[in-house]
Amino acid sequence: MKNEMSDEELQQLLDGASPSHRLPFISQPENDDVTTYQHLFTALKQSPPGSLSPNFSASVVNQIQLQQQRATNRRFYGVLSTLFLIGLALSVAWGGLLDFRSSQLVLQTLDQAKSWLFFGLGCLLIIQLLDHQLIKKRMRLLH
Amino acid sequence: MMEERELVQWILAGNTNAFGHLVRQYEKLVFYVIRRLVTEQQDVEDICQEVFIKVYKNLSSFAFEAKLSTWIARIAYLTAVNYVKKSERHQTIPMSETLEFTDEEQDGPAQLLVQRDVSTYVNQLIEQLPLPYRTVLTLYHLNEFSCEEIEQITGMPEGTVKSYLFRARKQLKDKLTTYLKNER
Repeated sequence: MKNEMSDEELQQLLDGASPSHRLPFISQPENDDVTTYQHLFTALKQSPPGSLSPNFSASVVNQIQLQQQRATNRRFYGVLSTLFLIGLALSVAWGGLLDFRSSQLVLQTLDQAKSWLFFGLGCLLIIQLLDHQLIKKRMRLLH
Repeated sequence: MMEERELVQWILAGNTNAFGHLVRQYEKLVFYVIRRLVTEQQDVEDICQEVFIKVYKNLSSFAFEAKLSTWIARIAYLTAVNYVKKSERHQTIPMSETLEFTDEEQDGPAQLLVQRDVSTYVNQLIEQLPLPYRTVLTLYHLNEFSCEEIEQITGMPEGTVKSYLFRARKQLKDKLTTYLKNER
């Protein structure tokens, strides 16, 4: 008697069996479908070609440490520039209390040079941004 | 599970060596998902790295409701899907949902000579399958997740997972039957 099994039944059977497992109750020993499915299930368990580089975990950890370092630096420079601005404001205010004229002179000078100050800051930011992009590109090339 | 908790606690306390251990433990899982879903092979390692950086940044939100492997696989799956969508949008090719293989004649005699190995041939066939089929095949057979876990990872209902798994394997079997017949 020919024991025909549907694809669904065969798949369910092989899901529960090891790849080399023989299916004794299938009366047709040369059942092509079973053999093909066995080949397929074995092939599906094989790793795809290629692999990650041997130092992959180290490079992930390095990347995280780099990002943490960058965040720490950003925080440090943020705090530093805030303190500088507060110090500047306090010294101007303090100077205004002691000598109103000289404090006004400082404010006027700052006012006149503001466009140059903003230009300088802008240039600095652009340089930082380009530098960041360059580092990113180099890191990608290194991988 | 206890070991996982301990490892996560070490990482959250700032121990990057512990994170290195976690990467080594799950790099194969992530590699399999990304390698099978992303067709641009030169980007695979970068995307794997991106996955682990996301894992590190979001680890504090992991509440042990699922296995750590399931959670990491979900991050890998979502990252890969995002990448595929972006790259397909870039190439203006819609994400294929069709069940047919691309009609490149790969079964010619010359091609068959090259594709002696069944595994190599199956790998080539898998690359031609639609994304959801590749996903369930990889997660089920390579990463050995259950259909229920695949539901948690992909968000597809369990019934859909089972149906995709059946249809993908049936298609591969049909192709493999022809291949094996030609080999004889």
